[in-house]
Amino acid sequence: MHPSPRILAICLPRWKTDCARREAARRGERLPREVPTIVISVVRAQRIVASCCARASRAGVHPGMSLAHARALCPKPRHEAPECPEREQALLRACALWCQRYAPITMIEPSPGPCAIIVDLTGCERVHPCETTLARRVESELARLGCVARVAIASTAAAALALAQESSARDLASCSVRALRVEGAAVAALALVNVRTIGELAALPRASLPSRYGEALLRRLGEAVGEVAEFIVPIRAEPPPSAEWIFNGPVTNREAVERATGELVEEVCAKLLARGRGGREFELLACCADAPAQTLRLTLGAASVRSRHVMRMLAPRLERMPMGMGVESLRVAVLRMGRLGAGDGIAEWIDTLVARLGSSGVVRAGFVENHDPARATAWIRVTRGGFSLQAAFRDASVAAVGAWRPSFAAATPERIEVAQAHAPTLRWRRHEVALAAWHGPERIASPWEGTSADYWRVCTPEGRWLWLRRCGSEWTLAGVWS
Amino acid sequence: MRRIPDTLRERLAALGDPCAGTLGIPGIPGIGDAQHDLALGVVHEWMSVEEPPPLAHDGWIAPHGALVALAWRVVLSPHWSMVAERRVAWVGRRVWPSPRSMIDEHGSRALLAASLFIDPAPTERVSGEPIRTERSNRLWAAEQALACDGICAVIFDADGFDMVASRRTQLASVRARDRPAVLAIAVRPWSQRAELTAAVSRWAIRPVPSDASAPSWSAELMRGRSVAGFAQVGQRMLLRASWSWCGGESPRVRSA
Repeated sequence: MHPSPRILAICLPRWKTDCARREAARRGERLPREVPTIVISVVRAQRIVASCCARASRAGVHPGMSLAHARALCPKPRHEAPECPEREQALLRACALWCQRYAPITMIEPSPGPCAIIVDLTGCERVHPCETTLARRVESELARLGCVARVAIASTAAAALALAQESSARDLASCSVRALRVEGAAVAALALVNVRTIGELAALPRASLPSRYGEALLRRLGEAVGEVAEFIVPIRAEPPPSAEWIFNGPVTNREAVERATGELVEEVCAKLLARGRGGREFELLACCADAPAQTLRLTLGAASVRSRHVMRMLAPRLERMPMGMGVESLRVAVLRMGRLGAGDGIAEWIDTLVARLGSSGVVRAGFVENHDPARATAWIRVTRGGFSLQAAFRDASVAAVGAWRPSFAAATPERIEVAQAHAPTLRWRRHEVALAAWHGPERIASPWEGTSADYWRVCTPEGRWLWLRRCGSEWTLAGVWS
Repeated sequence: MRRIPDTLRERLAALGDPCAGTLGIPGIPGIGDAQHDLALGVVHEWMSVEEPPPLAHDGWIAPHGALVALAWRVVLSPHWSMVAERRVAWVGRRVWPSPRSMIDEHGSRALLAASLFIDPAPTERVSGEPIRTERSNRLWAAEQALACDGICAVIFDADGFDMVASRRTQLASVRARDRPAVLAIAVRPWSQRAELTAAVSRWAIRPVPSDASAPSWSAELMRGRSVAGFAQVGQRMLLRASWSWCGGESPRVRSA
């Protein structure tokens, strides 16, 4: 028994303005939310409004209006951007691919009307047990990406689309005929006979509809109520580029293998560059005669299209690769792609260091929740989680930010003696050191473990500041402002 | 006749007279006064003066506080405005300051976010690779960091670097004219204060008493070559680093 189909429709009524704002953000322009956005198209040498955001709509701007009129209604500051159908379509495709996180089959709705994406949820009930929660989640996640989205779930794609387009409608019958995405002429002709909703349209005799209002209307109505089958043609993400080299028989010469690998890497990088993406993870598969196939995986710190850098990382491992009785074929594939970075050389520099020193060779500083200052520091590998260094410092563990800590913390606390006969004096490594200044105590305690210690900042007459720890009657040197 | 590539010619020319004026880089504004800036694109040596009782059980301790104050200058200086993200590389575990001391009293973690710490003696080794000493790895990592355009300052442990090694770091610190210049600080132990190296200046860092209830250090020029700011060989200059933990000031370095 087949499960009953469930289709999620995402209607993007302000897609053009969303794209314009996204493009502005990509260029680094700062656009506050309250700035209205107008997308302009040129029709017969006249600039007209192609789309506008909700704020501009409230000011009275609507698509089709001349730009001069819109400017009069919507004062500055406002953001004006030219229409770019190619970019909007590319972003819509990217958005449809992004929606595959909800279900594996997604489609860009081809019928005329506002941009929309269809997601086939059939069979994903266990993943998304509650449809209402899913719809809210999709809307909020798209809103976080800067897209205005209206979402509806129904048994057919046409019904879900109609409900998503008309958010005020309670059911399909109360949706307007326009929501069926048919031509405007048919909608106007139906309005003449006072048929405005899908419910009223469904009550008409079906046989008379095609001759009066066209075939498309009957087909869309049939699709909406589930009488006519509708086809969802899923979009597929383009596979990452790869290149293959087949030798004329097993090759035992390592230099030849390295040369061929270099050419394959160059080919793959050229393909990546053509797509405007970079490779983050590469794989070299070498099929050897009389030996198992060898796989070398290379992960870069940041996406790159520089074949020279990839080969520099790959070459030392290629040198040690067992070749058996010779290599018969080579294949270089990109396993993971990423956005190309600023190209200041930091990522390549870190890759070079990690290749020689290991992943623990390049670290950044972080903090962990620990009451003991000596154990509150963590060294985090840079290769873990890419280069989002800022993200590593969002932890709120350093609550006592104003409390200064010494620049050198003693790995093993050293015992000292503190005497307070006449003036505070330190006896340290057989030296009597008088104290010129002291601050404290600062109590650092762990209520959970039931331990506590007092810390003092003391200064020697020479100006050397020390951090002393007193636990019970025992004094130790915890650190130095070196 | 063999032609020398222009880049190599430029580097050799810069090496011949390693002064800031030749490089067209005025040093870091604000570290000293107008005549006493630390020149960029050349290696400066900093060493912490060891007086009894010695701070460390074994070996030596780098002048972390003064280095942190200097690194703050790099992060805050307008000089590297052309660099999208400023980075400071700390090469060698001995020069790594305690991360808590890198947060200023206002809670700013800009220096921590800009810092990358390089451990030239990692525990993980690639199997089959010939084992390299910690010193050779440290020298190599310092060279790599100095040559990387995205790094504004490199603070590296130069313990045991001989004349050849120091020349290598000096050569790596010279970048092309259109690239952002690097502040290179080689940190050495006090016991090597008499050794000759290719660094253009050598500074002794020692704590000084201050009235502000805050750690202070003085940086005293021990020797210097013809670098802008200390044109005469042997001229001495006092550079004081201080910060305040109870006041509202950010760490700073100022000339006395």
